[in-house]
Amino acid sequence: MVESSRRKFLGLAGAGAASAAAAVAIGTGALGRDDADESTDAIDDGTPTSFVVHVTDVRRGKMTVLAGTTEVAVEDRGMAANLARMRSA
Amino acid sequence: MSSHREAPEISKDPVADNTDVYAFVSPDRPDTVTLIANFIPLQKPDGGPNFYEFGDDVLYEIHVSNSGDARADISYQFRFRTVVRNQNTFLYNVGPIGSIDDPNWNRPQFYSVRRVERNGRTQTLGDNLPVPPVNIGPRSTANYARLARQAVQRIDRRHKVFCGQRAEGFFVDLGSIFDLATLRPFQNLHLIPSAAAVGVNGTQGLNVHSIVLQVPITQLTRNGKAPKDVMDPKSVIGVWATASRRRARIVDDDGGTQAYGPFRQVSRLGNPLFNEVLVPMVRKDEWNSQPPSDDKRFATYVRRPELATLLPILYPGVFPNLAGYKKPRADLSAILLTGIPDGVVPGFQNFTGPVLSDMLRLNVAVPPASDPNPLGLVAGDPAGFPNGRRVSDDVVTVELRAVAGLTIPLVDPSFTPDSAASAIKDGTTNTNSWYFDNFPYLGTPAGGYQTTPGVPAT
Repeated sequence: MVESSRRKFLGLAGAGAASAAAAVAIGTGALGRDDADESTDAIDDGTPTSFVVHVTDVRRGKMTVLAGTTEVAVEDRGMAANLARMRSA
Repeated sequence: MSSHREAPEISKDPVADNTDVYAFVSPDRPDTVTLIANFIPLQKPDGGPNFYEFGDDVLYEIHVSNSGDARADISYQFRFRTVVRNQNTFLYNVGPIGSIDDPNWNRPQFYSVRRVERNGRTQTLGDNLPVPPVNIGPRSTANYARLARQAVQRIDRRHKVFCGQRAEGFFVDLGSIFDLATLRPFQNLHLIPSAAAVGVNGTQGLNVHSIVLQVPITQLTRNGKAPKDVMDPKSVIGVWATASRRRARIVDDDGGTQAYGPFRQVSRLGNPLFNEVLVPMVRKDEWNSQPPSDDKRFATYVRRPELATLLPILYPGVFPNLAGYKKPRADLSAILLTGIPDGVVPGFQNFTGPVLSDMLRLNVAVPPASDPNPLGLVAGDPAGFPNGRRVSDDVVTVELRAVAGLTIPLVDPSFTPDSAASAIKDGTTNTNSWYFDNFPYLGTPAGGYQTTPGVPAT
């Protein structure tokens, strides 16, 4: 499994991320205040202003990040679980 | 139909729906091959105010394999860009469109053409090339043929290209065939009989959007030469087309959409009717997403086609020999999956090797026919289907007869085809504007004002 902080996660997307049980479109407003600060840092680094995270398996933490024309696979059970909880937030 | 709405998912996405592919040695420029891929099926000519157009969010490709492994050695990629000139009108055009750059045309579309080779070499052949408007009517597009000619572009000095609306050139008795495989000329022999009748062209008066590219033969062959020996393996190319969409699509709050991620193939076509008639419904979407090089997984549907089983049931007593034939259909495998090897048809081959793959196979050493027979190779005309496909080839009749057993003796001389196998047809011809003898070969599209639904196009 890839250990990945949210900052690292956004960095992956900016570097050229890929793809469900749930698909989540993330813009800067979709995150909490602390997270929004992190995303602002990432945007300053050239990250696209929006991208899509496709959670393909919540239990195993399997996700793909779709940004621009790229796709990167990510495994992070904690983040997948957090995203799953956001469904009803 | 050929491949119009042939699979559940793509039937809901007409902009990406590849309906027909053609590949032939150009009759007026025999040192070139013309490649055509049609999209957006069954266009009613009066379909305004938002008339038909290519998708800005679709990657359209025509692929050529020349090395025998059914993988693309050359891909021609087409991307479109739409401009809205006047933000304050609902109209497609705010006056007569007298030329292709007329400002009265409110929604012009432009495109780029790229050639991508397997080794990664990429070349932009043209950019900002114009698509003509659709054929609206005598006030808006008065001289449509002239307008369309303005969109024929020479690019890179060696290629000629046209992207835009054309008259549907494919013809079939759609309403009849999908009514339990009725063929009107023979429906008196059907299990549920009615009086025999004349076939009805289901695409009458309808248009499509065509991508037409003319390429020097030397740009397509394995060794960069124009072969003259029909039996030379390097004289055969495989051709297919695809459409791809980005992996994710988000509908914005303002009604627009955003696409994310890499392109994924959603439509594919090589031989006409392959996915439509041979592949079972539950696997059609999967087939559309796959490359030809993986078609071994679908080979069983070619070797034992469902339609060959149905014909003797639906036409009792008409196909007794076909009903008794239990061997895998090696004839159909050769025609559709490998090409016809040397020794089957004297003086002809379009074999691409053992990789089972659905591609149109064109032997470019076969010169254009001076008097083309729409039944192509089975009628002794090796310049026609299934040696590539010309716009005028009657592929429905050819494939019906092949499935009915007419081509089995090519590989199994012990089999005698039923007499009906050489007579079976759907009884239709092209009732839209006729084909051109020169580029872009497909006829002028039916006009919106001029066309009464159900009446032949004018």
